[in-house]
Amino acid sequence: MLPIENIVNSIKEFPTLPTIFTALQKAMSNPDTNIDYVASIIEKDQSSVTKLLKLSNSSIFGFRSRITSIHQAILYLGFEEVKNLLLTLKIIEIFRTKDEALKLITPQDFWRHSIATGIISRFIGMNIGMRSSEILFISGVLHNLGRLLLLISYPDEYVEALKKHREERIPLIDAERKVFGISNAVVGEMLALKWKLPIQISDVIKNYFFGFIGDKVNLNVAIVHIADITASLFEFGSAGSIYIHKPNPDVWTTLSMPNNFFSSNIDRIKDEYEENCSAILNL
Amino acid sequence: MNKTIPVESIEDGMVLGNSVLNQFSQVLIPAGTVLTSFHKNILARWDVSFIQVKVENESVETTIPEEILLQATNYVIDKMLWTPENDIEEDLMRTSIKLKALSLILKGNEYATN
Repeated sequence: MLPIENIVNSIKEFPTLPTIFTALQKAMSNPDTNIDYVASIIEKDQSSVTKLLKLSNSSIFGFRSRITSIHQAILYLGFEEVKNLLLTLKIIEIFRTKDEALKLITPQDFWRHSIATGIISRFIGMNIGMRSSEILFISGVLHNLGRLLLLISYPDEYVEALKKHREERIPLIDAERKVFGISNAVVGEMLALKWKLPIQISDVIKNYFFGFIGDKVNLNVAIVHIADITASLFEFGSAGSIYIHKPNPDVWTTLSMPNNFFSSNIDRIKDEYEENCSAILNL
Repeated sequence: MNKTIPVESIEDGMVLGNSVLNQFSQVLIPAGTVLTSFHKNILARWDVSFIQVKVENESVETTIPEEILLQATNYVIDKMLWTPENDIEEDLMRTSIKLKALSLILKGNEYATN
């Protein structure tokens, strides 16, 4: 088993978030900031502009009129939402540049699973009447950050974890614990803290596997728990799991979803999944 | 919304919902093509059994051959480390089986065209 200090050190050495994101965070923490200033920060990074506009116009947000500028995107979506979208795009960018290290699971497959989890989370959120479901998309997309870090930093050990998962037919997170002495959820939370991600996202990263925070109900965590299992069963991308664990039965009670939720929404979920994979990954 | 139909049921004017691909994922007939008897003949010649066509406001009922359904059911059940214990878990499992069956049908098409 790897000494946990090694993993902690890997997290310390991991890249920081791009300067555009930290500049944005700083600008938004100033109560006197305005849309033009925030837009000017984003517009310095042309690749982010193109991706943000494409994503803002996707069916995730469902605006009837077309968003053609960052200024307009901030007006329609709000500061926080634009910041979170940019965060998602930048994190995907960081990990796509490290393709070499992700031989075990292709980055395309990994992010497809993540995007599917985001889309399904948002569908569940809307279905149970949550007013703000956008944070669910981002939390779903980033729920597996810790697994990415383990895959990149310890590819040989991760092969071992995948082997245990397949041979012993145990959930991949349990195989990770056997090999690393720690799960992707804990590693992901450490990375989320290093990157100062919003607390709603780090709560999901740490607890998505169980569906609860300790014994406390947290809707975002419960929803991403179900969405992750669903995306794996539907084989929308792959984050490495061949065998899929059981949903926490108490989560169904918490969410009170209709019994035919999956069969009645599958066509829309599939369409949105394909549209967003293309918007986010094919740029 | 797309509906899966056997190639022999193609009628002039139907619109292809998903591109027909070969095993290298090259597009042979792109999604959105308005189908004619020409396409019906060429798909039959490529040994494609099923395609997806666009439908409007219709519940999507797909004809899945029993053999493929059985294959998909075994695959999904083997993948799950649990058995459904309530209606929503049952719905999740059945939807996963249907998706797997459709992907097996489409994969069959890819092999057939080569």
